[in-house]
Amino acid sequence: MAIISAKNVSFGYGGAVALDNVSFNIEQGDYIALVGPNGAGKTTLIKILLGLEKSNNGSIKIFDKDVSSFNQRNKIGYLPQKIDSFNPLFPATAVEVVALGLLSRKKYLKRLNKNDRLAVAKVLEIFGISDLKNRLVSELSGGQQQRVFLARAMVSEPSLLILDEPSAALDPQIRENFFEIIEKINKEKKTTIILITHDIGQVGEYAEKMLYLDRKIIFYGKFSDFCLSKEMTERFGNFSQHLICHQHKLP
Amino acid sequence: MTLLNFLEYGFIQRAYIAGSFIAVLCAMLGLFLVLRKLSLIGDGLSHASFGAIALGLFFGIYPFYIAIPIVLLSSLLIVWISEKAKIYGDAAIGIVSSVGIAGGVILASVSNGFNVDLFSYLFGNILSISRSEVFFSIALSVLVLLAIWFFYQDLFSVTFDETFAKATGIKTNLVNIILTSLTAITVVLAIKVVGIMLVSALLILPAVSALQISKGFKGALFVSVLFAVISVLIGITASFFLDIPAGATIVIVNFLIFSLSFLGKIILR
Repeated sequence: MAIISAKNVSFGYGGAVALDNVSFNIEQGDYIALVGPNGAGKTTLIKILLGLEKSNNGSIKIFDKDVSSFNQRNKIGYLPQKIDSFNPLFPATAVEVVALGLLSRKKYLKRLNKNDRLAVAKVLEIFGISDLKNRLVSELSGGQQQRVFLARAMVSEPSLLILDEPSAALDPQIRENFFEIIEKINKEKKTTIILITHDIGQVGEYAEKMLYLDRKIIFYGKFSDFCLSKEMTERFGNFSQHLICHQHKLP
Repeated sequence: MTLLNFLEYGFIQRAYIAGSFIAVLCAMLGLFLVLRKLSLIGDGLSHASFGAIALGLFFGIYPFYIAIPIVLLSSLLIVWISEKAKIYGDAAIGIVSSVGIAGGVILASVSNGFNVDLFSYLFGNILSISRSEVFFSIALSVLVLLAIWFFYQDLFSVTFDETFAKATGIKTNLVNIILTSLTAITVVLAIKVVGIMLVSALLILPAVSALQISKGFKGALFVSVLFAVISVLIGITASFFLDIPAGATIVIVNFLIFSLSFLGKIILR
């Protein structure tokens, strides 16, 4: 079943076109890398999916509902691109930040109940950060902060997890550990993952499918098919294509 | 005179009660405003209230009845200008602030005889608060506190990370309007305590003092409220015994608390 269905979606800022007639489907359980150069419209597409922007043309359905009327926000977990965009003076503890992920479940009087507190404790344990729960987020390392924000995205047990360049602030060892956690979430919980990345070499290592965007969709399919595709050769040249695909033991 | 005799004075009791309620409001809202880098909104709205109070005095209407709706509208104007004119909040605050002052100055110059009254609002005098003003302050304070309690999680989420808050379905524009509207009411109430010129100090100082020493947001809220109430009580008491202006004394006590918190943080680090 397609959990996201986009048809002829276009979006422009002023006179500049950010998305041009984009159509695609994403199925439950997919692990998709959304790849493309700077200014390709990746973040814009995600903002439209999250309801932060409205497309100029076309339609997007999420969980079979038009994105403009979709209100089950707890079904979507979101890890923003800049985890350091929060105010470092803000004295929020890890447990307070993770609990923010549960507000999407609540309607008017947003108060945390016993079940909510248990859900927060559980997700902190899953991500191995229970010992950090009373620490100020601003005092944590980049890797620890990333886990806290991932826990915030996952605490509502979403069916779709959107990660906007999550590895940008992580050193290699922590990055590997981070992606192992994401892979486990995808495999065990069948959570659909959309991973936005610049790093084309990273794609085949974790994601099964790739959506290559450069204002319009250049390629959408399995990474193994991409390695053999003419589109990739045109974009990256034979040598780079060979290097990337060889890295992942693909033909 | 003993402290017990002093506490028997009705005007001191009224000042303590109204001042404490208003201090609680300022401390709570101030923390959200400081963390959202909107500290100077108090300054801007108090300047807008200068124009509104002048308007009230000009027409012979109780100034606060005019000031509350006008300052509320000014707060909405700040949000609206920031969004529609695509300018930063500080510029929008600057516009509303200067128009308020300019309006007040023009009204004062064309009127005859209310300049002395207007001057009293510039520096406030909590010791002259009447019984009806105390009830008015308590009623509005309870209303604002209920609103903060009701929207606490929304305010927390938007203050921490507005983009994420919006992605979770929180109506961030509405939360911004609520925050500025509550601030507008609080600013008008606080004018009685410290005056137009010093309102922003009551919003900023308890919050920044609490941020020096607190771990966790709820802790910071509690400490901010504690500091604000202590400064009002000490300020009123000191002003009476030393025969100095109450509003300015409250601000100086707040500054001393900030200095101690700041030093304590450096020493304990």
